Amino acid sequence: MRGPSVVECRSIQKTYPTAEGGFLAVDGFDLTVGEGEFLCLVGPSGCGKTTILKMLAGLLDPTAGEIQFADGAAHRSLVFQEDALFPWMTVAENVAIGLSQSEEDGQGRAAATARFVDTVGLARFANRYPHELSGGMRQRVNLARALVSAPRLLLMDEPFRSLDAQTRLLLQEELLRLWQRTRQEVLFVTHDIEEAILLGDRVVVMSGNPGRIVADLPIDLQRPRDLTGRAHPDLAEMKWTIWKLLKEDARERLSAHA
Amino acid sequence: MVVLVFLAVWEGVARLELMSQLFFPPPTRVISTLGELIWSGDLWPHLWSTLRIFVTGFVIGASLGTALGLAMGASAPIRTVVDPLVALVHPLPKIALFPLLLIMLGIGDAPKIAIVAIAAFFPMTINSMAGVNQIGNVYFEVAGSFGMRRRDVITRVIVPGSLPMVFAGARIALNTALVLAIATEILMSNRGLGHLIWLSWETLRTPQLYATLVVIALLGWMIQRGLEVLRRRVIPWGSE
Repeated sequence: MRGPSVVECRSIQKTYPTAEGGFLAVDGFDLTVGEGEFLCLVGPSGCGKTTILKMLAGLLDPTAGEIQFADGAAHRSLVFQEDALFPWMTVAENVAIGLSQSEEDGQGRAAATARFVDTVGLARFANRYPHELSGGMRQRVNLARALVSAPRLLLMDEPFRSLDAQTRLLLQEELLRLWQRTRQEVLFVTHDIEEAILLGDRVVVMSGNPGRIVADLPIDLQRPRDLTGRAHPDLAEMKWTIWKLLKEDARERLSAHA
Repeated sequence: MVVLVFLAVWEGVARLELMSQLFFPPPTRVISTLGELIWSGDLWPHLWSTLRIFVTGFVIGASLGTALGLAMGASAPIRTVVDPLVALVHPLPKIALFPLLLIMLGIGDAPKIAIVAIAAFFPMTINSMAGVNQIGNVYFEVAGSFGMRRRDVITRVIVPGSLPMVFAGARIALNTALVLAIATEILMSNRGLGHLIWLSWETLRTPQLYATLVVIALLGWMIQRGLEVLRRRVIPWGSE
């Protein structure tokens, strides 16, 4: 782990209230994110990784435990999946929402918005509506919206999940390209093991329900990463290591229920 | 095309006296009567009277209904209080309330405008509330995660998000309001298109009756077209 920790989660627990008394989504979760670290959180559906992300984003409160941010890191943005753009706002207006908490005046906001719309390559589409864009383009708007306020911590909730393979590759490249420039802390949630390895400095593996960490692996692959995977001969081995962990755990849970 | 054939058949059948010309005057006579109404200037005061009541009543009822519906959708406490009242009054045939309003507001335009307002109110309330409820939860999450102020959530999420359903409600409300405006004129008025219908019946001038119906149908059609044009301008984002 590089540098002092920027985010610390200590013994996080989250129980959702239900008719039967409560659904324990996450239990005893500890995590730290180091300075400039691109951390991937990988796990199967339902393991609570989105819950963790929402708690870090401030959308949910933990039932127990605490989350601590170092100075400045509390300024965080969440990148949603592609259907989270407001359909009734143009690309530019959607991106400007990212500046809702900014103290800048109208002109400053317009300039920052235009800059980020341009950075993700959508300058020509600034006044179009989301329904006129492809999935990949919509996701770029989501990225721009999250980045426009220059957040210290970038939280990403399976952002490329609904994209086709080619578009996903392009957007992964774009994400890394943008990240190299600002090098903020990133917490990237995904169920795709290969994606987690190729993007992250560190992969934290979570298991089923209630979610807990089963492994925390540093990724020593050189940057810039080759997202097709060809330049990294160890990739297959690492994928297998992580998959084994998840498989064992899934099997355990199946037999525990049986 | 089908309509023209139908009218041609009607014309033929009527002229050949196969149907009573009293009940089914030939379309050509209806049109010429309509022309007379227009050129003699007799139509306009009636049309204007109906329009005045319809527009005033609709604007009052629809704006109150939309505001309340949006509030009910956005705020659970408001909804809990108001919903039972809406559920109780809505099923009542609005025209049945007309005599009550006559007592309360006297004879004249006021009770008619009130009925029209009530008729427009309910579809707008119900649809506006539904409009807010169908806004996907994720949009509120986005608003929350970027720290949008409550005021902005209302103006930039709730209002635009519910617009498609608000317009759907307006379609119904406009129609109901026009129907009721005409109905009140049939019941109690000496002016207006509804009155003209009644007068035509009383004097057995059937072509005039049909002509008035044509005017009403055209009016209703133009209103709906106008709404559609407005909708395309206000909702340019391809509503689902």
